Amino acid sequence: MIYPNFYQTWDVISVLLSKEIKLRYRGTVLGILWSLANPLAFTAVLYIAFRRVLQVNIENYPLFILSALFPWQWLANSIGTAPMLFISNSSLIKKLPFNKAALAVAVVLNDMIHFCITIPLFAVLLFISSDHSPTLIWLVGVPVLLVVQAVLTVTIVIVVATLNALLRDLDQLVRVFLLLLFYITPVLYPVSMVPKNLEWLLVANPFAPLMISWRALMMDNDLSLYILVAIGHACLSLLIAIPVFRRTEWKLAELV
Amino acid sequence: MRQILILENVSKEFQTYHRYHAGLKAIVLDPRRITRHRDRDRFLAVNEVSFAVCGGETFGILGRNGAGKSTLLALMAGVLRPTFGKISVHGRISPLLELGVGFTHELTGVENILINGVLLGLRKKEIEAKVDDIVDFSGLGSFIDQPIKTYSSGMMTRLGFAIAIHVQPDILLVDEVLAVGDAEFQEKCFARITDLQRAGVTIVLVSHNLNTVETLCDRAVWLDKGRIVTLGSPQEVVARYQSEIAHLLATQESASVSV
Repeated sequence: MIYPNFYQTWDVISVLLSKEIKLRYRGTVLGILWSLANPLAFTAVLYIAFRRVLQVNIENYPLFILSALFPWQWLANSIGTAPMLFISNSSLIKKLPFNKAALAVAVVLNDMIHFCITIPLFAVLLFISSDHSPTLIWLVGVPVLLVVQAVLTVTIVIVVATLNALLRDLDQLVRVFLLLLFYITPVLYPVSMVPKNLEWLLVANPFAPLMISWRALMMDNDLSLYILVAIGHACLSLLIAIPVFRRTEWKLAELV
Repeated sequence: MRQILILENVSKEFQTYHRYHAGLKAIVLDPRRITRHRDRDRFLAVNEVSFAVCGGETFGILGRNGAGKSTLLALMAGVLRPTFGKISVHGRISPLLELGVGFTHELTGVENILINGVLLGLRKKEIEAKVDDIVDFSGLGSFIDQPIKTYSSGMMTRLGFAIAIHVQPDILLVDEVLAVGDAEFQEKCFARITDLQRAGVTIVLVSHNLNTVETLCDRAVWLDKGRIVTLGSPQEVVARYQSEIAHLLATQESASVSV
């Protein structure tokens, strides 16, 4: 009844997104470089810990980690802000009739843009430090994986944000879950290290197929079959998120 | 005149005690609270309200604090959904429930105009075309390119009002915001509202200022405890409202005297 139309919602998303982008690094000297500093520092620590101390033998270990850590950061940052998303925007939600999903889309797109900045950096590092360099298959693989991960992340953010408006405990639970998922997702280790009896986790864990696919693409220029599993997860998540959101969206103004 | 905002037996019920808000622990310890509905946990903020606002009309809503005026506006704005009854709106509605909703203090005046305009329902292109008019009206001059955290509260409300009034809706919902800025700015706001009225914009106005209601409105309604007490010409409604308030004050006074 009230939502003017689809294009207006896109305008809402775009102003919210440009606000987020302007705000994130306003006043900092290094600006957007901070979104690279974090994963690079983490990788340096891991390199020392696993390669030098524990003597893990994986070729090109820093790049190996980064190929999954950059996309993981996007996912984790978006989902990490999800619990407070509607609550921290309560003044908007209580006073203006707009599609609240726009808030979730803007957050995810913001983190996605920051992730996209890391892709060329990664390609350069790959070019310098190893004998394989990006091929044209990236032009297919990157957009597909971006879309699949964006859909999966938006839907999870919407569900988490909605549920946390009802049940505030979710904020704490999400942090624990993200940490748990980080270790059961092959980010720090290759798929081949996962024991046979736990391989079902690679399919059941909604984030594993994506991270495996990113790494296959970026390290081996390979379109992994795990992309199909990732698409499945994104569709499933969409099927859950749409009814949850439809039912609760109008109540949000009373809950936040 | 065509009716463009129609309320039919609209009621809004709030739950004062929320079954989820006690948190996960409370639910685990007492799972029945999910399904429990108790009458004393409910509160009817708006109770069986029906009226229709015609196109081009200025409609006032009067009432004491807690009478349900703001809830009623939020229902018309589509921010809240009625528990019972039906609201039909024909045309673009611009809810001015609070000035400067969504202002980001780190961003400049112009950046905030764009965000606010889009959130009020305009397309980005439409609001971009109006930026100059809004800046003019607000009288903020070169401050418009400063982050609004440097603004005084008066400057911020002026900006909020300037945006809201340039949105050009079919229906403008205004909640107690006419009393902003200095005398000069208030004059400007009244002039602008008269312009909007002349341009055929429908205005629904909540105000505590009886004078405002009498001079601006074509019709008014007096709301008490969520119910309509009187609906009619502003003079008539204001007169009844005033006599009720006088009566109330008199009884309070005599009560305190007898103590």
